Amino acid sequence: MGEPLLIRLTRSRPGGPTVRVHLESPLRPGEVTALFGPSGVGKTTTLRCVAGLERIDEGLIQHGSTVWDDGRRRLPPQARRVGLVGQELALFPHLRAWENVAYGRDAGGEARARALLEELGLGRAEADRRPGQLSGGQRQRVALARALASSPAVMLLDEPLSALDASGRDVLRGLLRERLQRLEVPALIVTHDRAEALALADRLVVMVAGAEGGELAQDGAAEAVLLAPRSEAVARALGYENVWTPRHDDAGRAWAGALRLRGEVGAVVVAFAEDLQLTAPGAGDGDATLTERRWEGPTALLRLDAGVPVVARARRAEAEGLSVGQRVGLRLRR
Amino acid sequence: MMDWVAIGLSVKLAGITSAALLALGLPLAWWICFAAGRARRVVEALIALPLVLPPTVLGFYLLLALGPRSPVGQLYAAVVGDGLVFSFEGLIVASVLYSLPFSVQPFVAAFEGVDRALIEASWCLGRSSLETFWRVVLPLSARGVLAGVVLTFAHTLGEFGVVLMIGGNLSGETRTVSVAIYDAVQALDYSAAGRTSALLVALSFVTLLGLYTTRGGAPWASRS
Repeated sequence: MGEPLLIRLTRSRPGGPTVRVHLESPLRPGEVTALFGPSGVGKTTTLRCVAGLERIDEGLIQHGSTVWDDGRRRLPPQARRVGLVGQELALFPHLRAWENVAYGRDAGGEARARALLEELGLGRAEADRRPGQLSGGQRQRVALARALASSPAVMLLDEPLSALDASGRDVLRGLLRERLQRLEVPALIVTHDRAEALALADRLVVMVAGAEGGELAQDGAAEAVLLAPRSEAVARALGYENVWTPRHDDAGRAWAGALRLRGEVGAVVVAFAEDLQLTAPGAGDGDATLTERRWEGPTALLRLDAGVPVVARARRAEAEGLSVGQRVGLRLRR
Repeated sequence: MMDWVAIGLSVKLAGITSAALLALGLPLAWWICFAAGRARRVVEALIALPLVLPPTVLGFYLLLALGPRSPVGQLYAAVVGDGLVFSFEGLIVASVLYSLPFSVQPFVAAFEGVDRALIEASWCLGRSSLETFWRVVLPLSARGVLAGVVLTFAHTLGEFGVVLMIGGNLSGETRTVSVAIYDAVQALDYSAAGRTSALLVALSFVTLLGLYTTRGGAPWASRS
């Protein structure tokens, strides 16, 4: 069983943005946390600070009772035992796949490396090849095996599946999830892919662009964060097309423009375009005027004005009968 | 007649200088790759000085720095019992300094060509900087390092100005092949000068041809 990892860091670069990530609670062993947000908010910088490849200016990175960095003293990467799978994988091009896996100080020998590769679906022939002779998915597996081989105290993954095509991603996502859960150490995954974050992570830490740079905007159970983003910035980062600030009438009913909001209403109401259903005028939660229709394959993206901007998605057959300026009803599925 | 003693001496000097600069240049180049700011710029400029200075200027200062009245010369004489200038050992010191950029600059270029992510991956896998250097950086920059060694060898082989200033012209001790050619021309023995020059040209060409022949795709390069 591993030990918890506490991350409270501030990292600034001269003339560059400041990254602030102060997690309220440590990453627990066996817990997979996704560091999620748009590009340029400091997700990779955070990961590099945890790995010891960059120093922090203030704060504390602590693994169990061992201080890794407190802004004054920094434990070198060699002493941290992190299993790092970077965006570029960084496989040693002059070594065979099994030699890459067996490279780590505590990785064990050839037999263990080959067994680990076998577990991840790479046979003897692939294990004897150099990275340049392997496919993207195979390279990804070698990188994962290499990180796992040294029995890491913490797993760090930076956009681990970004280089793969959709089918390759699906296969490896399941494999990755299973391996990370079995490892029982804290795992931190950097991603800007919502589906990936939700598929892999138990906990979601959302970073957004702040006034001085990247900062932590919300931290919680993955599903809870997705369903109830705390702010418009978080909702936008999560990919919601519709983000409304509700108003309440004298009767206590909640509205977003002309749309009646039913059920529990928080400080911010969010909806994906797919959550809005077209109805006849007067038959839904409110009416809106179509302002733009854009064809996207078998569906159409619709922009509407309901007193607030609304983005909805409709099937092609349904959208073909609509014209710009037409009044339609909208129902919000929540 | 060909001065085989001078040719042998030059090859010996070039070999020892190349080996010395391999030992000295690798850590120096590695340091330069990771050094930041002013210190790196100053060191790089100092190392590159022999590229622009006339050999006589460098030779003059070395003569002063290694001469019998200098602290280095006196220390050497006290330990070895002989002077450093006008000796083969003095030639080695001068050649090492004069050929420094021919080894260090290719080494630095080769090291900088190694993806930083590979070095960091090695660190994260628990390997020290020294282990990372031996197991990752050196294998991946081997061709660049070889280029530095070959350039140093070829450059030292044809050295003249500094050699003459520091070593003089003692047969079997400090008379290198370039000095022997100069002597032959001074003695109007164009035939001997021509034969020795032709040999030097051939030797240098073969050395450089070997260097360029070994360049090309790395054995681990992708097939696709």
